[in-house]
Amino acid sequence: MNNLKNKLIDSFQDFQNSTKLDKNSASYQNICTNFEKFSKLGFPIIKDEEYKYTKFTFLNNIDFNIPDKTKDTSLTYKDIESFLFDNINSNLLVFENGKINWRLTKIQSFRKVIIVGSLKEAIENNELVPNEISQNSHFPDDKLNILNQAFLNDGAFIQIPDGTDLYEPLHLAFFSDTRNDNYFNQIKNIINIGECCNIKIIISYHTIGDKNSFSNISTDLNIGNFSNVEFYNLQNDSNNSYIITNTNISQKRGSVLNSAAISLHGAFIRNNLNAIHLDEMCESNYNGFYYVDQNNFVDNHTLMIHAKPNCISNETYKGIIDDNAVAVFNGKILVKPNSPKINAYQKNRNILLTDTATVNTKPQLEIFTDDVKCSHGATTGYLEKEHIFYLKARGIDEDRARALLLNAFATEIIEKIKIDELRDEIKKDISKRLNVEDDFYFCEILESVK
Amino acid sequence: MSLLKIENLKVNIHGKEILKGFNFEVNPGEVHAIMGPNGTGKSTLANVLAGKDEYEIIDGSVTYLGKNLLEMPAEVRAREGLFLAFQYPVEIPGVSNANFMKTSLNEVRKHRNLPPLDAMDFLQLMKERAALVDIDKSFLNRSVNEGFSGGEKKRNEVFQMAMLEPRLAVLDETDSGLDIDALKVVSNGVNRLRNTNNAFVIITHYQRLLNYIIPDFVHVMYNGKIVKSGGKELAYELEEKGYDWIKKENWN
Ligand SMILES: Nc1ncnc2c1ncn2[C@@H]1O[C@H](COP(=O)(O)OP(=O)(O)OP(=O)(O)O)[C@@H](O)[C@H]1O
Ligand SMILES: [Mg+2]
Repeated sequence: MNNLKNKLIDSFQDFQNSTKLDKNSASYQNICTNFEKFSKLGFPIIKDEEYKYTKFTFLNNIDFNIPDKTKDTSLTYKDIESFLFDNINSNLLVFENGKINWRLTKIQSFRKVIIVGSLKEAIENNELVPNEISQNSHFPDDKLNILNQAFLNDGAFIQIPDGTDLYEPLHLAFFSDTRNDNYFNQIKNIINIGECCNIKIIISYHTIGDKNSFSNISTDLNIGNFSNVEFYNLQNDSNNSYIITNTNISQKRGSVLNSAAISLHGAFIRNNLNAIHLDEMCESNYNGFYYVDQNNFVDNHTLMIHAKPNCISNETYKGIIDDNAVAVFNGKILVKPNSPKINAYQKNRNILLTDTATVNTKPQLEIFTDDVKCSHGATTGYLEKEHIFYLKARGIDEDRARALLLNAFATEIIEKIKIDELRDEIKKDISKRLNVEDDFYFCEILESVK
Repeated sequence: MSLLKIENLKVNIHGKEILKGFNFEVNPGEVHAIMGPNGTGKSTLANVLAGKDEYEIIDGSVTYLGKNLLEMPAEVRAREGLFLAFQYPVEIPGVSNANFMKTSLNEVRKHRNLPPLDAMDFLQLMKERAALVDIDKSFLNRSVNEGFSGGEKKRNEVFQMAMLEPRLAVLDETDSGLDIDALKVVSNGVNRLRNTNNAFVIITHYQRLLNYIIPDFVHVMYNGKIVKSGGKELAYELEEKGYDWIKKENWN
């Protein structure tokens, strides 16, 4: 663990010596402050309440290196082709070991006013007002988010002007090329969305190569008045991938957020999702589905802060845990003083497929206002015997019965993905893994013959 | 050869004896009605036939189409043409009726060495059979039994039966909870499926159903056994006199 920490400390020296940033700039100051904190705090340990079940022991076993940022990007379309979604016409931003790959980045004919680009370049060229770099003040400190801010990281920088209705999603694809070495990569994204916009965002993570990747990705998503945002976090990587995400979302008046975190594969996944309503009449629907097996670990920590009256939040996370896999869910709803007329709902449902699969689930409500409607519930269990028997009694064998039921369990969440092609692709992935025919396509045909 | 032959069947659940030496035989083309007071073991019998595994078979044998039924897994029994319409059909959220029936029917066909039905043929069949039991097509796209009314669930059982065309169908109180019109529709469905090759065992509390589905035999079950058998007039007698006289006759 100290090994990576020491390497990070060394690389900070390099950064100080070579950076183009003005040493008096707020950006530079911010980086230094966070670096001091990181040097003191280091990586989370299980004594940290929020990391009670989240062990970073892999840092002792794998020697991660920090990629040389001065090297040019080298991935080609052939390398990444198989990881891209078929049928989805998106604006693609490709990052490679923490650095934007302009050759593979494809941004469709935007009106000039939309700024899409590299955050690092934007900061170095002073295109950002300083306070845009750090907007995390609403949310509790997180050691990995601190580490993320302790460097000048690259990532997507996206400014969407008022009234933008973008049909094609923005797809941020993060590649770790580990064909030569184990790499630790950091990414910082800032996405600022103006008023009355309709925007869809997809984030995905991919490891190319047999060595290990460890990614620490922070995203600030700020949503302006009356905008609608779809935000999808897709994790379907390999057994040599270790992913941390910190997503901090702020919403202004009348805005709607629909998000889904889909984790289908990866050795280690920790998602921190924090959201706050800064004005009235906001709505947040955040969903998650995880399906983990082998010795995989997936951990979703969510925090919804209701700081203004007349807002709604709906949270549903569901998971299937197979083999020796471990899942953690920790969902906190905080209703601050003077924010009445809140509806906040949360549920977490887990299905264990083996006796050695584990779930730790903890819903938390903290309410400091009267006149709010909140509910939460968590269940963990096995598939219903009665359901399996009903299917068997109609000639369907145990394996297929279980697969049908698990597919149905997943469907509730996957149906909430509002990019049809993406939803279908994920449904296909899950059905394929379960070895069942997809229900959805069949019903489509049924519709069409009516 | 009889379709089903049950000899001296004794079944326990959680150590409690429920079926206590049950004898029963069904031949192709026959319709049997089984009546009897609550808790005598009618559903237990139905579930044991369907292959529910929480029961403990203590003694006796069940022969279906010349084979030992008790050794067959539940899904194989279904594929071999045994069908149970459940007294309490479960709700299965997220699995559409259509996909459920398609999977089910194709498993049954595979077992009979028939190719799977393609989507169009399947839909055609489904529409036809849905019409037979007067089920609205919109039900087919909904999750299995989810949010269905009691009567709708029963009708869905008969729809599934019509899809699978079983050799032996056991209907466990399929008439309970049906309104008069639905009762006629369901009975009509059964009568349309009746032929000289298949057979029905109808568990019911009401003589009323037997006005629509005329049984060849009526049996009274009490305390884990058949204690009286007769023609359809036995059902009238039970309707009139209740079960007290049966209970007295079998006091032990
Ligand atoms: N899982 C179980 N555990 C314990 N006892 C059971 C269980 N299932 C059934 N029984 C008991 O077995 C007996 C027979 O039940 P069964 O459901 O077969 O009766 P039935 O004849 O179908 O009654 P009804 O007419 O009310 O449907 C009852 O006393 C019931 O309580
Ligand atoms: Mg019963």
